[in-house]
Amino acid sequence: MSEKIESGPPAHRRAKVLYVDDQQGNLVVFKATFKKFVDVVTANSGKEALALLERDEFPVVISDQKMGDEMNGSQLLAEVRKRWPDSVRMLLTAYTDFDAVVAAINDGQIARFITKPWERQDLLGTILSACELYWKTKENKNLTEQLLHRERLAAIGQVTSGLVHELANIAAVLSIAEDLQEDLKKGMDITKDIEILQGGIEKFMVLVESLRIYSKGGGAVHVSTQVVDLSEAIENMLVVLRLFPQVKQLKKLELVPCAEKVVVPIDVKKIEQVIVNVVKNGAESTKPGEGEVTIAIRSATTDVFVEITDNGPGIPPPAWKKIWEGFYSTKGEKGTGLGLAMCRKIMEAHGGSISFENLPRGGCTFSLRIPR
Amino acid sequence: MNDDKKILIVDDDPAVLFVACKKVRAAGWDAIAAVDGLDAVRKLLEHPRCRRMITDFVMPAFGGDAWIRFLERFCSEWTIVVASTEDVDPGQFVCMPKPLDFENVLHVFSREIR
Repeated sequence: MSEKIESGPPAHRRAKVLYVDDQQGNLVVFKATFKKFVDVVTANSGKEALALLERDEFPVVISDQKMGDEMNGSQLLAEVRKRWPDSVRMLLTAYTDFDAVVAAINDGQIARFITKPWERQDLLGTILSACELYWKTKENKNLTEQLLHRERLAAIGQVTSGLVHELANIAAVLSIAEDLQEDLKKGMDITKDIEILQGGIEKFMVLVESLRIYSKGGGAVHVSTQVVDLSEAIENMLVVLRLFPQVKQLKKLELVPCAEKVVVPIDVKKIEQVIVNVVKNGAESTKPGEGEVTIAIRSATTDVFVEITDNGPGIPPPAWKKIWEGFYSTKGEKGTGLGLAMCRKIMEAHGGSISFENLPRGGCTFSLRIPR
Repeated sequence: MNDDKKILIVDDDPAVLFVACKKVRAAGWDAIAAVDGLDAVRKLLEHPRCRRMITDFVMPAFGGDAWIRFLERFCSEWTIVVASTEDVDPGQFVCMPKPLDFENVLHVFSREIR
């Protein structure tokens, strides 16, 4: 992009003033005095001024305090502040209507007040510096927005490599469908193929679901709960869990049930997603063949806790806060950084929460709180 | 010329591994599956005449750059296709993007090799 070199401020950044006064004579004098230096637009009532502001951008709004209209100067400027907070507001008073001015300043409605009769050079200086302030503030805001946008892009870049890996694997799995018709014709048994295909589709759906949460408009996780026996539900999840290669390489994976029967209202599929995620993370952090992951159910008066403990290295301090945010991963290219952020949303949708604690003897415990 | 019809396939994702083995077998080759670099070392010792391999790059146990450097040093006379979604340095081997186009892969293996 090439930048034009201009001698003065660019056209769109010209000093521009909206001057409001109910005395036609004052409007004429003001315009005649300043139009050589700044763009002047005038209005003879608060109502007209607001109508003009809706159509155009005014860095500076100057209003007379006393106006015949039902809206006086400070009331107008209060409205301007609410709707166009960046415009620099000034109040003009014919006499030292001190109470009104002090009130307006205290409310933060005006940046400056000017007493009549104004002195040409003074007022011009004031208007020009106010315009500069306006454009600087505007520029600052734009830069901040650009910076935020850039940071977001960087975050997306981080997650993309993980995502591509994930998608490529799913595509590889789904490609098994290409040959199925041929296999069927030959009378081959395709039961296993279909299983693999279903697994791929499921993985894809999970990926879409977790990404949806971080796309625009998404945000809420919907849970449809039903009351279940928690130990039994988790016992069933273990079957699925043991299929994961990370979990397979554990030395031990066990469930320590609660002495009493614990029934809670949960969305079993969603809670399964959380437990699978946390157990997989835990298993991945341990040394192959030496890892142990324990799932314990602990019952309290108002809540039930599921505590998942591993004997890995624990969570390193720089990750403590970030693991709950999306797009952060300690697993390099292996993780999309969506897992735990997703878990948090699911637990919160249950009215519960998720937390973790590094253990002094190594490893860490993730605790899922589920309200009864 | 290598008349051994075996291809060693290495991938940590069991579903991807299953699909790859199936495609390779359908084309008339013998597929030997390995779940990561370590398992692959075990398998290549069990099949001393095997000289062809399809391997994933990112794997939890013995993958990545170290795995490729290992193959360069100890399997330099092999024909190896490295499958990856990222820019990797495949060394002397063939690098192909994931998901693999098996026709292309098998074309690489059908060429006469030393």
